[in-house]
Formats: sequence, structure tokens, C-alpha cells
Amino acid sequence: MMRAVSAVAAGLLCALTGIRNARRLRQEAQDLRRWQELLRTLALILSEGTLSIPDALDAAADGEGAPDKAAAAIAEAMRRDPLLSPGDAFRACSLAPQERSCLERFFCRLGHGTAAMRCHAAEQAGDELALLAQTAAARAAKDAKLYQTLGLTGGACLTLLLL
Amino acid sequence: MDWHATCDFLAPCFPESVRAELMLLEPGELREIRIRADRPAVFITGTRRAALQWKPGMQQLEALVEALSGHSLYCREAEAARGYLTLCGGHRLGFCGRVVQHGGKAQLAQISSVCLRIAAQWQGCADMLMPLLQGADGFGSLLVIGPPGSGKTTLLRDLARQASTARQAWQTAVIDERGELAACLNGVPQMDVGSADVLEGLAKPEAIRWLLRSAAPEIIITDELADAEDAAALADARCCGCAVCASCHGTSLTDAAARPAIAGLMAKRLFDRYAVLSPAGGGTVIALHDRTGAPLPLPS
Repeated sequence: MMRAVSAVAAGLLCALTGIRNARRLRQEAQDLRRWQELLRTLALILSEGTLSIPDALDAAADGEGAPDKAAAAIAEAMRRDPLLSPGDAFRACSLAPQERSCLERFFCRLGHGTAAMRCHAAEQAGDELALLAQTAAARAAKDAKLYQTLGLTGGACLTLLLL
Repeated sequence: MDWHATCDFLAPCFPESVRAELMLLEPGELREIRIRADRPAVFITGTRRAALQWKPGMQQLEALVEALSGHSLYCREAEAARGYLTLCGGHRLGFCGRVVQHGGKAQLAQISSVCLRIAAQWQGCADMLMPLLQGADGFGSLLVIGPPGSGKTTLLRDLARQASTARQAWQTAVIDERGELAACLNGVPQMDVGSADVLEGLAKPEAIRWLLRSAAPEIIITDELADAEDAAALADARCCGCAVCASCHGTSLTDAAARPAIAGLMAKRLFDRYAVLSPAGGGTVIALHDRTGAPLPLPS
């Protein structure tokens, strides 16, 4: 009985790992797309020149995803500690490495220069993220299904083997 | 904005050492904070100048300016190009540094020093003048004469507040060419000018024409009569039936009369009263004159 339960549990674990990896790849691609949209919106808001940086971040981050929460957290950190630059506030966020360096460069530039320079920084970062999002989407399309299939198949085989 | 609100606004923008010094000050004591790159920051009060331990670098200075502006410096470039920003509460942040010409417009490329002037509103400093100006025939015109720091702007501000909220509630308009009288932030006066209409950032001649068309004022209040153009604009306003209250630099009526623009207005008997302020500050009137320049006794 215990052996059967262990076999099924091992199989389920394997399947869930596969499904989780697939979901992670798709989520990464989605997050990068969302960052790209957020920065495009932010560039438009900055070009209007009516909102402070924290208010502009809040206005651009009107979704529910991780990028929106990160942008809102950066805005909140800047309000709590006015001496904190956008770059410093960003460094306190935990983000995936693939977008981290691009966004870190952007947030450092967001705290300096004229309105035109800051808008340009947002547009440039948006373009960079568009490329990253494309690559991530292609990887997700190719690998996500593979991980899912491997996980399910591996899980079934493991269950049978252990039984 | 009272002192506690001012401290709540300023404290988070400065490092801990400066915050501690700020908390030791009494309400109304602090007049300015001067910060220069790589030099000790200085608190200036009415009686002393105190150098602090804090010596910010250029980056810290830039971070300070961003913090004081609420991270909105990028969208206030036009205001910053005039050399100052009006902050929440009416405080004024003046800049010095390296200016570059970009597309025909001056742009501050690097800030090397700032002067933070703490706004002061002394309600009641125009109490002495109000009964002298209010009459059955209308509101009188006034020229306030005083040296720098004597409180000319403070007095005119209180005059605007009292005139616009008096029982008679005169239609009062304020021409705030340099943003010192009402200290508007996003169009909202940060200083209490009562129910006065405020026109900010426009030169006096154009501003008077604008107000006469749009606001039908009974009283126009403006500061710093500088030249013949300003004087002519005020004369026009008087011809349209408005009382005018303005200020000019000087230590006495004779001093003011030595300036051609003011002398011309005096000769036309444009002003009903002249008030000379004490150099000690606070908008304290030390001498009064009637429209002919004859001295008047100070009300007790």
C-alpha cells in the first residue's frame, strides 16, 4: 500500500515539476511583455510632463501582474524615502536576471536629466525589453510544451517503475 | 504651512544629521538653508548663521533637489529655468550652477548650490494699514517702501488676504510675476491670500490688461515696481478705477522718490498712502505718508 502511494506521489511530483517549469517559461514571457507595455505607457506619461516620477509609475502600473506590483513598490519606496532615487528603489526589488540589468539601467537613468532624456530612456528600455520578450516567447513556445510533456510522461513512467 | 508641517516636509529630504539640527529650531526661527556642493550646509535664522557638519557632494545635492521637488523636477523645467522652484507650503528653492543654452532656452545642466527659503506668513501685519485704506469712496492705493528683508512681500500678502476676506470683501487680484506673493504650486496658492484671484508668471503690463478683462478687480496687488513700464501699467490700472498696492526698494520716501519711475507716479498722486518699513523685517511700518508725501502719525 505504502509502495503504491509512494509510486503515485513520485509520479505526481515529476509531472508537477514539468508543468511548473512550463508555466514559469510562459510567465517569464508574459512578464517581459507586460514590462514592455508598462514602459511604453510610462514614456507617454513622462512626455506629458504633469506627474512626479512616483505618480507616473503608479499611473503606468495599472495591472495586476508582477511588473505592475514591482513598479508600484518602487513608487511607494520613493514616497517613503524621498532621498531614494529610482535606481536605488529598483535595486531593492527582486527580479529575474534576464530583465534585471535592462531595467536597472533604465531606473538609474529615470532619476536624472531632462524630461526628453527620461522619456528616451523609457523608450529605449521598452525596445530592449521587446527583444527579450520576443526571445522569451519563442523559448516558451518551444520548451514549455516539452517540459510539460516530459514531466507528465516521466511521472507516469516513474509511477509504473516504482509499482 | 506651520512649522511642524514644514519639518514633516523637509526632514525626510535631508540626512539624519541635518534632521536632528532642524528639530532643535524654534517655530519661525529658520529663514533659509543654504547648501553648496562640497561645503558645509548653513542654517540662517534671524539672528545667526550656523554651519552644519553635512557637506554634500554634487550627487547628494542633486538627490536633495529631486527629493524636495517630489521627484517632479523633470516636468518643471520651465520653472527651474527661471532659477527657482516653488515647493509645497510656499517655500522657495533657488538654484545656482552651470547653465547651458539648448534650442535658444537656458537649461540648468548642473546644480552646484541651492538656497531654500522658508516661507513666512505673518497674518495681521497689515492690521494697521487696513483702516487707513478702506473708505467710503473705495479702497486706497498704497506704495510699500522698504529695504530687502523688511517684509514688503509679507505685508502685501496679508493685505491681499484681509482685503479679499474683509466684511466688504473687495474684489482683489494679485499679480505674482515672480511667484513670491502667493507662491502657487500647480496653480494653487501655497500662501494664504484669502479669496484673491492670482495671476502668476506674467509681466505687470500684460497682467493688468488680462485682469481688467477677466476679473474686474477693485484692488490690484503686486510687488517690486521696477521700471517705467511697470509704473505706466499701474497708472493705467488707476485710470480704470482700480486701487493699486505695490512695493519698491528704498529706506525712505525720499529714497523711493529718487527713482524716476516712482517719482512720476508720486507726481501724479497715484498713491493715497506711502508706508515705509523697518529694516528689521516682519512688515513693521515705521513711517506713513499721505498722497502729497506729508508725514502722517502712526496709529497707536
